[in-house]
Order: sequence, then C-alpha cells, then structure tokens
Amino acid sequence: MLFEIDGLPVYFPYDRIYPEQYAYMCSLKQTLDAQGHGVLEMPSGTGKTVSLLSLIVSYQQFYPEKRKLIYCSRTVPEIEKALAELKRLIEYRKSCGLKESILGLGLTSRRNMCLHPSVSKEKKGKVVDARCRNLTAAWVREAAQSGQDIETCSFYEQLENSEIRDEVADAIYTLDDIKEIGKAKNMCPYYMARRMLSYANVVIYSYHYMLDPKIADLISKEMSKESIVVFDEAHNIDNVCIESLSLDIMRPTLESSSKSIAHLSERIEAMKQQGSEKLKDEYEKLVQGLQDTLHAREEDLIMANPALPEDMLHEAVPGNIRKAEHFVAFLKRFNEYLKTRLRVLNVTAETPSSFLRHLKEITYIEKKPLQFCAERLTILIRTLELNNVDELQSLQKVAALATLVATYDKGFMLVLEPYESENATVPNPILRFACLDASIAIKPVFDRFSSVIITSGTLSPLDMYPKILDFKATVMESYPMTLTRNCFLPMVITRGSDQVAISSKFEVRNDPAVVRNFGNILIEFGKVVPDGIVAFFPSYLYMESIIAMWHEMGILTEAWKSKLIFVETPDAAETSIALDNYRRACENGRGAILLAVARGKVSEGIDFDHHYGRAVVMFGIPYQYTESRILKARLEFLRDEHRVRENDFLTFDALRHAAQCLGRVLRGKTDYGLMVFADRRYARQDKRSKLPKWINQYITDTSVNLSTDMGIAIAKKFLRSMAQPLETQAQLGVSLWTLEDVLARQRAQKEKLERAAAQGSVHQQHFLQYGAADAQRLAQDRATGAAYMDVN
Amino acid sequence: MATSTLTTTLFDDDVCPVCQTDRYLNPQMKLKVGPCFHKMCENCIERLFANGPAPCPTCRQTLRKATFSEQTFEDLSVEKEVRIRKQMSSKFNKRREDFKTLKDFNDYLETVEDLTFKLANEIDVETTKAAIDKFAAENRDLIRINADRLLNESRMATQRQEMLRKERQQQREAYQMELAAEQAAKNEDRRMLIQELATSDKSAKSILAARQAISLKKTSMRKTEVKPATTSSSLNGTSLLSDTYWRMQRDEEVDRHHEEDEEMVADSFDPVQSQYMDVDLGVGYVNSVNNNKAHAGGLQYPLLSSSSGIKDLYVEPVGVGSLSKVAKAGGYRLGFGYERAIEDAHTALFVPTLQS
Repeated sequence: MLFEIDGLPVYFPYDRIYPEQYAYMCSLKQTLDAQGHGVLEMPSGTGKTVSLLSLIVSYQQFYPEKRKLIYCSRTVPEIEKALAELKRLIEYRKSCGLKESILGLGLTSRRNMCLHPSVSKEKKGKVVDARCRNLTAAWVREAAQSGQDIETCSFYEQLENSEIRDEVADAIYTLDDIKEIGKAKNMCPYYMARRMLSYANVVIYSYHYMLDPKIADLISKEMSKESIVVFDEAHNIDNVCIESLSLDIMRPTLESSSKSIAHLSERIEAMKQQGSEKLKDEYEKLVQGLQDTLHAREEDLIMANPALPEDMLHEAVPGNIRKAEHFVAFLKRFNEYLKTRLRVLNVTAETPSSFLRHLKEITYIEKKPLQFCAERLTILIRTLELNNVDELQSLQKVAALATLVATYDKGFMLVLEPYESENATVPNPILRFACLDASIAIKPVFDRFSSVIITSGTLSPLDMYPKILDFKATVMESYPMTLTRNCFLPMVITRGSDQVAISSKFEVRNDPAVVRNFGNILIEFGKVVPDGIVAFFPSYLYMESIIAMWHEMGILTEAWKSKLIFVETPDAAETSIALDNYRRACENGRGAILLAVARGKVSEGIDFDHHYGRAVVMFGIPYQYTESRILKARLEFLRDEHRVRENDFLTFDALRHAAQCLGRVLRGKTDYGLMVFADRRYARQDKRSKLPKWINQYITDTSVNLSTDMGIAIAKKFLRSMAQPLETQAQLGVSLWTLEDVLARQRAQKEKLERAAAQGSVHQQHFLQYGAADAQRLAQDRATGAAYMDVN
Repeated sequence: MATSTLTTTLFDDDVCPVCQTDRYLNPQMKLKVGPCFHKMCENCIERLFANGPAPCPTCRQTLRKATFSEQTFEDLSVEKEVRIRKQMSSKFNKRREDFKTLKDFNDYLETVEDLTFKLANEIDVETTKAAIDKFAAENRDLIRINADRLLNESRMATQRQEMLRKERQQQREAYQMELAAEQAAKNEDRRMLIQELATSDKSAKSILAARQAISLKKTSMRKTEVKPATTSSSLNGTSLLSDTYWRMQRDEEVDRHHEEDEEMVADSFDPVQSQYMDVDLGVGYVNSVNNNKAHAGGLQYPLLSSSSGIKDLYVEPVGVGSLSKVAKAGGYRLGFGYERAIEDAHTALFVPTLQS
C-alpha cells in the first residue's frame, strides 16, 4: 500500500498494516528529519524490520540527499531475514511503477562467502582469513606476477582485473545472490561485496563491522556522515560494545606470543643477511613520519589499530621503536613483564595508569611507544611479508593490549585472577583487561553519523540506554501492542499450591520446598498446555542443581507422563540437536518441554512461534553473578559516571533478559502463548515497571499474585478461548489497518490538530498520535483480563 | 601495587645449575641472579661466597654475595636488558621539552635505544660505553634537572592517586549513607502507615491511596536530588587535598589567576561608576566578608565568581592584620574596599543631622 506521512510517500509491501507499525514509522521519520538519534521499542513479531526498511528506503529515495542506510543486525540468519524483506520491498516498489536503481547488499565474513576450493573448506573464521591473505596479499600477487611459482586466488585475480561497477547491476543481493554472482563471474564474492559497500544504497551487516574498532576502521570508514545507522535487536548493544574493547590474556597466549617474537627476530635477521632493502625502506619512511604510506591497500590489513585517537594516527612513530630489532626487543620486554604479572598468586585490580606506572618502574617502557605498539606491529608484519598471520594472533592480542592500556585511562580496569574458581588449587591465571564503559566503543558511531537508531523488542526502561551509551536521543518511544484478542497472557506466580513463596533468591533457591514448587509448575503446565513449553533458568549451574533435585523428587518422571524433556547445554552442537528433536516432538504427539538458560543461545534469536511454544516459564529472575570483580567495577563506574544506581542496573539487566526470554513465545499477532513469571519478586512494582510496555500493559492486577493452582485455572480458560478460530475480518480497523483506516486516522489526526490549534492549546504528542481509542481498548482489555479470574 | 607483589613468583621447573636441586627436593628454594646473569640457589650462594668474593662456577667472573638479586623475569636476557636500562635511564633522561622538534626527539630516542641495544647484545661495548660517558659529561646539568623533575612528578602522581582513592572512597561512603537514609525513610513510612491504619478511622483504602501518592512524590523528588548531592560530595573531595599537593600546584595557578584577575578588573568590575578606579590599587582582596557587611548599605557587592579560583586558593585564614595578599582573599577586590570606605565616609556628610 502507498500512503503519506507528513508529505513523504511511503511504499509498504503489504496490503494491511499494524497500527504500531504506522506509529513506528511516524517516529522514525521524526528522528530522520531532526537528524538525531532515536531509541524505539516495538513488540516482537509486529514487523519491525519491514517498517524500518520501507520507511527508510522511501525516505532515501524521496529526498535528494539519498542518505545511505546501514542496517546492523546480530546474527547471520537475522541478516538474511532482513535481506529477504528488503528484496520483497524493492520488488513491490518496482511493481508500483517506480523507476529507480537501488543497490542493496549484505556482508558477512570470508568463512561464509569464500569460493576458493580449498580455503572454503576450513572451519575456523580466523584460519580462512589468514589463508585468504596468503593468497591475496599485495606482495604475494607481485611475486606471482613477476613469474615466481606462488599460488594466488583466481577469484580474487578476476575481481582485480574487472570493474565492479560495470559488472554488477543495481539490485538487491542477498548473501546467496552474491555468492551466485561470484560463481558465475568467477569473482571473489567477499571482496566484491566489500567494494560495493562504498556506493550501495542499503548495506546490511553485523554489529561488529560497526562497533568493533579493530574492523570498523577497515570496513565502515568510507560511509558518509549522512548515513542512517540502524541497530536492530539492540537490547544487548552495551555488552557488544564492552566485549569489543575487552581482552583476556592467559599463559598460553604469552607463551605463543613469545614464540612469535622469536620468529619475528629470526625473520629480521634473515632479511638482513640477504641484504634486503625492505627493512631499510620501512625505517626511512618511519623516520620521515610517513607511516600512512606504509599502509598499502586496505585488503592487506588483517588487524587494524584498536581505536587510536585521530590526531595520534598522524603522529610519527616514536624513535625507540623505529628500528625493527628495537621494536622486537620492546615487544619481548613487554611480554616478559606480562609473564611476571601472571605469576602473582593474589587477585589484583588496578587502573591502566597504575599499571603503566608499575610497568615503567620495572621495565622502563614509556607510554608513548606502547600506544603505537599495535600500529607498529602491523607495519612490521607487512614489511616482513609474513604469511600465516593466524599464528601471530596471540602476539597481536598482546600488542592490542599495549595500545589500549596506554590509550585509555578512564573506563577501563585490569583484573588479575590467578584461579579459575573460588576453590581451585591449581593456578590458571587470567589477566583481564576489561572495558567498563560501553560508550567508548560506540562513541565514534554517534559522533560520525547524524542519525543512529537503536531498536528492539525489549529496550525498557528506555532512558537507561542513552545513559549507559552516553548519547542524546531526540526520539524515545515504546509502543504498546494493539490486539483484537489478548493473544498472550503474562502472569506472575508467586507461590506454589501449598502457599510457600517461590523465589530464586540465593538464600532459598535450593530449598526443597521451593524446588518442588518450581517442579509442580512444570508438571501442571505440562498437563494443561498443548504442544511446546519452554522453561528458562537464571544460570546453567542452577539449572543443573534443580534438575538433579527434580530427578530425586520424581518430578521429572511425573512431567514425562505428559511431555518429553529436552535440555540446553553450553555446547552449541548438542543444543542444536536438542532443539531439533524438541521441534520434532512439538510437531508430533503431545509436545515437549525445553529447559533452557536465560542469556544462553536459546534465549537469543531462536523463535518459538505457534506450536513450538505455547507457554514460556521463567523460573526466578536472571540476575548476573554479582560477585564477579569486573561486574562490581562496572557497577561502580556506572554509579560514578552515569549516575545509574547499582540495583537499578542489575534489575534492568536481569529483566531485559527475562523479557527477551518470554518474548520468544510470541512472534506475530496470529500467534498466542502464556508467559509465566515464576518468582515472588516479579510482583513488586520496581521489577514490573522495568518490563517492556507491551508486556506490562497486559499484566493485570488480578494476575500479579497467583498461586500455581490459580495460575492453572486462568491458563485453562485462556487456552480454551484462544483455541477458537480467529477471523482476519475481526481484526480489521483495530489491530490491522487497511489503507482506508490509515487515511481515516490521518484525517482524524489532522482535524484534531486543527481543533487544538484553534483552541490554542497543544495536547500531548503521544495522545494525538495514538488517539483516545487505544486508551479505551486498553481499559477493555483489562476488563477481559479480569474476566479470566471469574473461573475461580 | 608494589614490587613486592612480584616476589611471590612461581617458576615451576626450576633447577639450580650449581647443585642441581629442584623445587621438588626443596620447595623453599630461591634462585638468584648475579651480575654475570647466571642463576644459582640461595644455599649455593651462602656456601660459595661465605668467605668473601669468589668466582662464578659457570663463567669464572669474580662475584660477591651482595651483588646477587632476585630474578624478576623468566627470560634472563630481558633481566639483563632491564638492568642496563636502569643505568641508562639515570643518564638519558631528556624530555620532549628539551628538543625543538618532534623529529629531534625521536632521533634522540633512537640513539639511546641503539646504545642500549648494543650494550644488551654486547656489540662494541667499549665504544658504546665511551659514548655514554661522553653524553653524561656533556649534559650533566640537564640530567640533574630532569632527575629532579622526574622525582617531583612521581611524587605528584602518587599524591594524585591517593587523592583519587580518597575521593572514590568518600563517594562510596556517601552513596552508602544515601542508601541507608533511604531505607530508614522507607521503614519509617511503613511504620507510620501501620500506625495510621491501626488508629485512624478513615477507610483503609483511602489511607493507602494517600500514602502511595506521597511515596511516589518522594521517589521522584529523590531522583531529581541525586545530581546535586553527588556534585557536592566531589567538592568536599577537593577540600581534602593534602598540603603538599597544594604547594606543588599553587605557584602556577596563582600566576594564572593573576592574569585572569587583571582582565576582570578591566571589564567586569564596575558596580558604581567610580573615579577612584583610575588609581592603581593593585590586585588584592578585602579580608573578610563579614567586616564589609556592616558597610553594605543595601548595595549588592559583586562577588567574584568562584570559577576564578579564589576560594579554592584560600588555604588558611591568617590574622586580619596580615599583609599577605592571598590571606586577604575574602571574595572582594581590595580596590572595592577602599572605595567603599571613602564612600561611607562621604555619605554621612549629606545626611541632615537628626533633630534632637
């Protein structure tokens, strides 16, 4: 359908639109008009991606600036989903008679895209990258061209010899499409996509290409300032930022980097013996402060500098690491220093500045050359023309640590943990360089791009993200879900049928009464709910202990009578087998129960739509392990810098994961399911207020304080009413709008605006957008929610 | 984070090269390194050097007991290099400020590195040593100055660290207190509520509703309060600064403030158009606010903004009679005080005397 928002014609590839999609697009347009950043929360399964794409593409094509869209998602399946959606949208636009050329494509790692017969067989991403480099590095190709017998990659050569712009027509290419073209034209799909990025209209790739400073610099450097950056499924974005700047150093890392250092010095010696001019060349250039020229084409760089400030990059490399042998000796000293640090047998936590002071005291290493460490290493690797860069990984890690520790003072912390766990006796020391400030990694993104949009199904409380990522949002909005029938029912079970309060609080979590009550919930819901049930636990450890206790109590045997039981494990392969079988069980017979862990693989990114999940049970509140030193340091940092209270952050973090788990059950408006919060503490206002608006809106006063038997009664009634056939006709105009509805809504809004203008008073923006009808409906919903209670 | 933490070291497969004892036979074994960079265990050292200097069993160099020290690095070549660096750093301590261009500085760094590298790898030791001595002789004064500077700086860094630590501790305490106060207020609220429910004859519902409204208001108030509370605590933190820190900072700051003040006199100080301002009164400050209050005949005195740092510099009140300018800092410029005095003296002239 085609409609206008404030004069912008929007092409929407479906005949019907959800009201929240319309509202979402309105806010999105506001954000883009204001050239500001936005935080938007929209219920899962209501077509977030398609509304995003259709509005932004319409916006992009309508205005002359043609702002580029960079859409970042989390996983490869999600990227593929978005690409398919985009393809559909563009086809729709074409069928509407629009003549425009839009180039859109996705990018993923070499491992997924490589066509080379032997390289593509490798399993590990790093190995593929390194082997690719062995075949495509500038000096390898030079040597091959000069007639030496060296293997190169024919796909890459073909690409080099042709002009991409002419070869590939403007269209939308999914990951598979690019691979197909690559096969057809005998060109490397990965580099083809990389080269197309700079002039594509829509780019869809993973977060890391944007946030990880080590690769963002290579991939996303050429994107213009005007671009619109979207982070989808961004509820975990702060953790991604933190991880991209954190490093763990262990003994094997140092051992292997020692070996690499020895290898480097051998190579240097060998090169000197051969009387090669290359080292001298490198040195001459460094003396003149020309390290920029040393960076040949971007493809050759496997590791870029982790976030050096811009002005630093143009400064000359300090004199004491200019000569290759000096630099190697320098690395050796730093590495040895780290080794001595790892020998300490008590826990230490310190700031980068105190680390640097101690380092200087012991080894006389100054801050300046440390800052250039990663940079200098890259240059040296290039000069030495080393192949098999994957073997140098540990050394690169050490160099990255050197650069980071010397560059950042605030927001980082070094923690040395000599033992893996509290009661381990054999030391296995880890030096953790932990980033505490999520805003550091994402700052360049906010600084560079005028519009950054953060969106997900679970972002509540919305004001937390601008705080911890340190930016100003022009639009912050959370949308409720409009439904013709209450297709999901959240309920809080606070006690078992025996009236014992249930909680995953540390003091009572292993209390047999609590465990039995958790078990009873599982058994009872297993009897009532058809098809699949997913149950989430706060941690693997807790899940294991509970399952063991359930086994002893005979609860598992009881649950087996109605459903099969599957368990998620930390092992990815095992889990995917369990998931497969779970799905099979849901399709046949009485269904199954999947026991999973919040923050685990299942809780993020795997949908339990329709019969795969008719009920989700969250046992306890998934708090983080609060005794972790790094978490403590981060909490302290948040408190001092961003004024976020410790408890607020912990609760926020726990509840966003709980919401993420429970949101798995509902993937669209035709779907239905139960959401069970099984913990006494969910009944408290401070916990509930941190749940997303669209879930919170349906938690009625009557369903916040239930015992198991009351919960079962409500669930029975709910499932019975849901089992009735649903007619699309009933939804029209309420939770599903046709074009007429949109136009009618726009007219009504206009009238209201005019009336308001006439009265000289401006009402609340939200009220105008949404209209009073929603409020009425909400009241109605609550009334029906209460009706379920009448069963008792 | 002292060096001592590094001594709790752990080399797993240590063997004393002299007596072949290993950690299995003697768990307390400590290996030490002599100036020739050969290891031996403490027992061997005791045994070999009990009667004064003796040759090293490995390389025959004459050694003493006192010259042995504990090993910091696993790799002995690094150990050696670091010791050389220690000696070098006492001589080659020029800084970026001592050079005109960055390039010169980098060249200097490279020469130093070259010399160190040669010493560590025993290339042309004689000529290198000569070059080092020459440099030391040429730059004796600068080396001394820079050594002083370095000492000062490290002292200051320690101070700063201590200060930061204190500040953080204070912040933490403030936060704890805030939490405790909140909890106490909550408990009090609950107690009051129960009391009210027990004694009042209003309906329970209306009491609860009223209570809820109050508590909501309180939480929102608390949220707005958070900011000022924390900023004031950080202010307290600065007042904790120790004297030594001040003495280091003060000189430059005083200079800077004087410059700023002179500018301020030029444009901002003009409460009453005054001809007396032509007289150069110098920069100074009237000693006490309270003294002047008596004269303030309803006129608003311009208070120097605290951003110019005068308050911060106020170290210790000295007697009023003291002539030290800093001691007189009360927030008012000296010139203003004079002007006031004259004005006060004149105002009375035009007031008709009271008829008795």
